[in-house]
Amino acid sequence: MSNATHAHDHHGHGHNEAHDHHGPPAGFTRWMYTTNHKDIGTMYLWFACFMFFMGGTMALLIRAELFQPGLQFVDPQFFNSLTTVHGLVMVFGAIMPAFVGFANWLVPLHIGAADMAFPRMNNWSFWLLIPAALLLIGSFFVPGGAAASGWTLYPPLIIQQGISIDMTILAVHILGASSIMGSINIITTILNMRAPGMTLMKMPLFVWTWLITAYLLIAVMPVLAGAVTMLLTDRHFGTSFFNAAGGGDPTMFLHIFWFFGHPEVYIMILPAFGIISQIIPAFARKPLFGYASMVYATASIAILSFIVWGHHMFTVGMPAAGQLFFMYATMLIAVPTGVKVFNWIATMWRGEMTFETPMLFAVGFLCLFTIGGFSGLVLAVVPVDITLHNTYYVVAHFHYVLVSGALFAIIAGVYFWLPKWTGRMYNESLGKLHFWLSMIGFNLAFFPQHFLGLAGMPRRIPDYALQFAEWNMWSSIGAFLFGFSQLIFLYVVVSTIRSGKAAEQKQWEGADSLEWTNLPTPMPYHTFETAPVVK
Amino acid sequence: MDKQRKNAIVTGLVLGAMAIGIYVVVVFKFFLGK
Repeated sequence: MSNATHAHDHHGHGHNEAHDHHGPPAGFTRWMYTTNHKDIGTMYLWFACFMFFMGGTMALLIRAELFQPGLQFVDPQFFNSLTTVHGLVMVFGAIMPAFVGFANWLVPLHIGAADMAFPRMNNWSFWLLIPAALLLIGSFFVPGGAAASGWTLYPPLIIQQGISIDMTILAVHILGASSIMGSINIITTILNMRAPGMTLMKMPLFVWTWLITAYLLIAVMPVLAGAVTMLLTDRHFGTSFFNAAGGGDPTMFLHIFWFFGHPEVYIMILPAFGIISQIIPAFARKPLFGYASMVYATASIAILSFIVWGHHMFTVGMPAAGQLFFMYATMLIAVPTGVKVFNWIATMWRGEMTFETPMLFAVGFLCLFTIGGFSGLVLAVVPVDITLHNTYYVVAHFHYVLVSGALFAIIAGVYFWLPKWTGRMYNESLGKLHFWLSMIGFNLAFFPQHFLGLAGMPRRIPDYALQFAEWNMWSSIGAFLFGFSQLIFLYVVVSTIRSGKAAEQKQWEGADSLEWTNLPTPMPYHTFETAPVVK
Repeated sequence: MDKQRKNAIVTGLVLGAMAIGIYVVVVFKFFLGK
């Protein structure tokens, strides 16, 4: 959106060698003690990558079990643990840390800041993730096995299971604290450290989406923390917040959880919108259509996300007025989301488009996320939702939003910024192969799940009736194709870092944010120590 | 301490207080309600 006319950055003027000589220390201490936003962003992204493959392995175990009816590989309790921890790992361990990784890398570069506002807290935010991940994954190995309640941790089931629940609750607390500290850092950086001339309405849309996401996080992560704290006291300290036997109300947990849970959905998708809003204009070689309306649409989605939680619990029993309110409020979100989809298409309209890998994933995102949005509208209709609740239709819906939405945007973003981050260019042919295999595998895995759900197949079961066999088989084949094609992605990233060809300063002709226009490739360790002046 | 640093610390403290405040309200509303 903005052009810096005169960069005073030392590194663009041959002064960088001196800095690079006392740049990052060697070895593990570089990563342990780093306060550099680029290093911390890199660690977040690698952590997310590791957790993505952990969660992906669990998904493939689930799909292997569901390949045909009957019990093949795992017992039902372990199957339920797999679905639960898969959800928790992907939401809190993969998607969210990946976006925080992008924020760490890009927010200071996009606004012309030298680093994040609180670099030491930034380091702490990252390193908190490690014990949380160990608790989550380690819970598989304690007596009773990992949490098997579903990622929503509903009582009373969650109150009855073993020590793994306490590990999960502690992990959620730690992850929440990490997210809140990350959000405080991001908001403070954006509000206080923008380069001269970088007004709010000149910021790249990625920064805007993260500013709004960070506010969402600060508002709802403490609510989740409160809910799981109460679970903990119900389990160990004799309270009965959610225990009907003691006069408590399990439904209250659903209200509190989904007051967090629905904004959480937007926490996982708004930064994706930001990434896509950087990529599409770059490959359409046109400015983003309707920049201001994109900002207002993002804010509208965030505000509306606070008043739609009830659509997750239509079946618990709710007055008709409540059902109508949550139904119409949910449908209302389609308006700002529609504005965004319209603006992305209008940006591409009559653009000089090329389809390198980031753009392929961005267009894939646009098509498939919209399908996920539409199935969300279907589920917003109360009588339809009551029929489809807890079926595979819901599973198909949120995987279209979170895999072909959030994950495709993350992959698109990695391909887009990898040349800038590493100074090296990835293999375009392998990137395109990765895209097409992902596209085919993803749709084969998840589109049939709409049919399964419409036919009545419930979620979170290891066995099913014979009439569901054929689509389950295709879904499992697609899931394995999708899962294994991600190894291509891993190979592409590693081979780029190790031996990719040198990238240009402005690898993408249409990219116009500060990191492309004002910084050399590869970037020096410290950037924008003197702020650029933005016109 | 320069002005930007001071503003950043104030912003961070306000946001942190918001987060802790929401947590306290959620938990203690229910504690007091019981």
